Amino acid sequence: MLFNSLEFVFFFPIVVGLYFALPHRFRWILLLAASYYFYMCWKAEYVVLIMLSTVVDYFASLRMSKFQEKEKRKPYLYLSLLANLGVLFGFKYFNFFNDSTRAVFEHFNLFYDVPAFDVLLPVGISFYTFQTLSYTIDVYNGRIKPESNLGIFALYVSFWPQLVAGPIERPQNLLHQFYEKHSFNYENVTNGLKLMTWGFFKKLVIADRLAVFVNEVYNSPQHFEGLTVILATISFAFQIFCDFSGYSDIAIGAALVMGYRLMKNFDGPYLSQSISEFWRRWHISLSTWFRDYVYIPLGGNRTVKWRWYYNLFITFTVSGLWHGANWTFVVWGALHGALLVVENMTKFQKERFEASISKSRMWIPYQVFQTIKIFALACLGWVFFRANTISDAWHIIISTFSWTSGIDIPFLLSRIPKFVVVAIGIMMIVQLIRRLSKKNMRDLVSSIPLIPRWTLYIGILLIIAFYGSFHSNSEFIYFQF
Amino acid sequence: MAKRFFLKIFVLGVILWSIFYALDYLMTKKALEDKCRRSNWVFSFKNQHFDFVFAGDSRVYNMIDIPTIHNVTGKKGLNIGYSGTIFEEQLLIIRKFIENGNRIDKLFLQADILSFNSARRSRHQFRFYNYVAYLRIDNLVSSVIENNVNQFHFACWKYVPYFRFVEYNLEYPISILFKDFSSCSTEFDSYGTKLFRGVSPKFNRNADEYIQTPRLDTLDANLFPFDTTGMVASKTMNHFKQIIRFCKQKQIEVVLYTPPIFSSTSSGIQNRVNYINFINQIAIENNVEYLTFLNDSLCLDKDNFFDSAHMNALGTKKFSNVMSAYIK
Repeated sequence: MLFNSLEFVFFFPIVVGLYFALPHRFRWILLLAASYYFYMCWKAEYVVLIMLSTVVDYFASLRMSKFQEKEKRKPYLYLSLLANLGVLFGFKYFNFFNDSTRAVFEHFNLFYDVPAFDVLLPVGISFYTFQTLSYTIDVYNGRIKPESNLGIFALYVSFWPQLVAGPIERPQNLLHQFYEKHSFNYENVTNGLKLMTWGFFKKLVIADRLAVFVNEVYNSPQHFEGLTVILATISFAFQIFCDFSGYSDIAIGAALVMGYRLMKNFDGPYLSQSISEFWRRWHISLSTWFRDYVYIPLGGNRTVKWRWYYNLFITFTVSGLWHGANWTFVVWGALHGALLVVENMTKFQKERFEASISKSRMWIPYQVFQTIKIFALACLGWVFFRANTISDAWHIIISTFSWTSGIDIPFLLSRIPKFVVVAIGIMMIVQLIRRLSKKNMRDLVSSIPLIPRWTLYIGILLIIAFYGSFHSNSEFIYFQF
Repeated sequence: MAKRFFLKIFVLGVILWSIFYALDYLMTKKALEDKCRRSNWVFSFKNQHFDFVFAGDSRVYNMIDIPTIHNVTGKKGLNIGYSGTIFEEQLLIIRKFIENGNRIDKLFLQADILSFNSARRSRHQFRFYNYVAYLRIDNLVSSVIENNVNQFHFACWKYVPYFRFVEYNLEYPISILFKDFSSCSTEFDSYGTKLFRGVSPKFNRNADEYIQTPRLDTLDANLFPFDTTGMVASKTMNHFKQIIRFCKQKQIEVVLYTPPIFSSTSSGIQNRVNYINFINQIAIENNVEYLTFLNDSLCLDKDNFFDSAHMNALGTKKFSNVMSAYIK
């Protein structure tokens, strides 16, 4: 089920209504049933995979907890890793590695006849797999005790607001909340609904409208160049941010309505002044997952320099691969890894320079320049992320410097609606206000007097109605991961 | 707390319902004024008598020149072809046209393999947005839409004010409320035809684009529109039969026809036998006359074509001249 669907308009109030109507002890059953139904609306038979993951990890963790020694826990950890990553590999990566291997064999004129695996990628598999792996790894490391209630654990794995596109929750944050009794809380409900509305605004008014232009350029890059390609890339930067952060806002808002607090997933990433800061603000749940379960176990930065840089680079390359089974995602991840390595290499010089100008007139222009620079570097990465192939990505990069056909203003004006540009402007202003005032946007809005505040709420709803995209095929980008 | 919340939701709901109720009324009124919208233009004909009418998709809309036929035959005709339509939509157009008091002596219904094919249905679905403005004011349109849409979805369109315009806000932008349609000029002439001038940049004039053995992996809607594989979609066949049945009830003579398709070689022309037999069989089963122009010499001259599936102004006039013989 998509959040931006008619079914959800009825699913949500029914589930929330029943949630508050039921006694606390039955609520987890309702949520579990709702979560499985939510998932099965996409493809019913694939719920078996979530169930498999749930059962394996539940029993593996219970068995692990019987032993104090890590050596005795290891087989169960491996069982969990094998089951989860095996399914992920089979459904998501097998064909990718198979095709790549075939290409290598064919290059050397060797025979290779392993057939492709003809199967649909289960929605959200990368998300719920990582969520359940964080649980088993934390049990293995003794950070948490295993959950004894299979139903509650199943709910942790499949909790519908964040099941298919995150945030990737940690057991320490989420599991205990299922035991807490949540009464109807006016603040939670209204704040949750406001957050959902904001999420729908970003997704429907900005992301889905930009997608038309981005898809036209990126699906036929050979027909475009110069400013068109640059604008398409910038549009994609906003498309993916609004699509993904929009989904996260809707997920977090929906959970908040029922009293559950999910982790923040985005924090104004395009206002970052370094790549490190960008990754502290972009897809926070994933970047922290990779930090805790890949980067730190590899040694993190508590090792010699070259090994530290290697750890950074590998972590980000693997995170690129998490996004999709295509070399473009690997390159995207590797690019960010490389940028982070360079940034760390030059950190000392940068800090010295910043200290020297921090009290001068150059400071604000420098910060603006840094923000634009990081946005430009992020856009460079997005070229690879969005392009269908590596050669398409190269073509796009090279064609940004080619202006032989001039600037097709009518084409650009017809593809980038004015209201989308205005909406992006509104969104960036909101981000800037949040950053500069260091206040919660909810608190800022709540401080507005009643009539203007209600005008604002009605205004946003009308903007969504007038300018949102409601076609049934407008899925969220991160569903494909 | 809960009371306060539900009170606020109620108030918000009332405000929004009122706003959308007013907007629904205004948008419906405005949307129906737009004579540049093809469906509105067809539905604007009332109580007229036509000797012949052509119905179908863009291979009618762009390929039948009524003045040419009128000059040869002296008969009164109309082109109600509509780009991208499938039989379901054409059925609605024809039914509404007749319900408006119009009379047709002879209906030429365009049919290609793609018209019946299941692959077509997924690419060219019923464009509800062309008719949603009529939903609350026209029983026929309402019943046709109701039969083609999920009941729940239909109920939202019918009973929730402005809902259908929200869903199709690209086709019905809010700016329409401030538009003056009295001076809008249609892209088609007063008989309903839009003639293609020149040549499409995508037209490969050296390739015979008719495929006998379908290659689905290379199918492209612009270059290879003639998918000879796939199942005949039973729903589409059903709508086709409903057109035939309806026309027979209204004593309209139906003639099925397939307009020319470009072929760069005469052997390509000879390869069209299966295609012709396929449609001919359907015509026999439904007891209607069938005319095919797939093997006409017009198909061989690239100068007649805008792209492989659509003739340009020159080709259309020639083809219309040929059609005149079947209208006298």
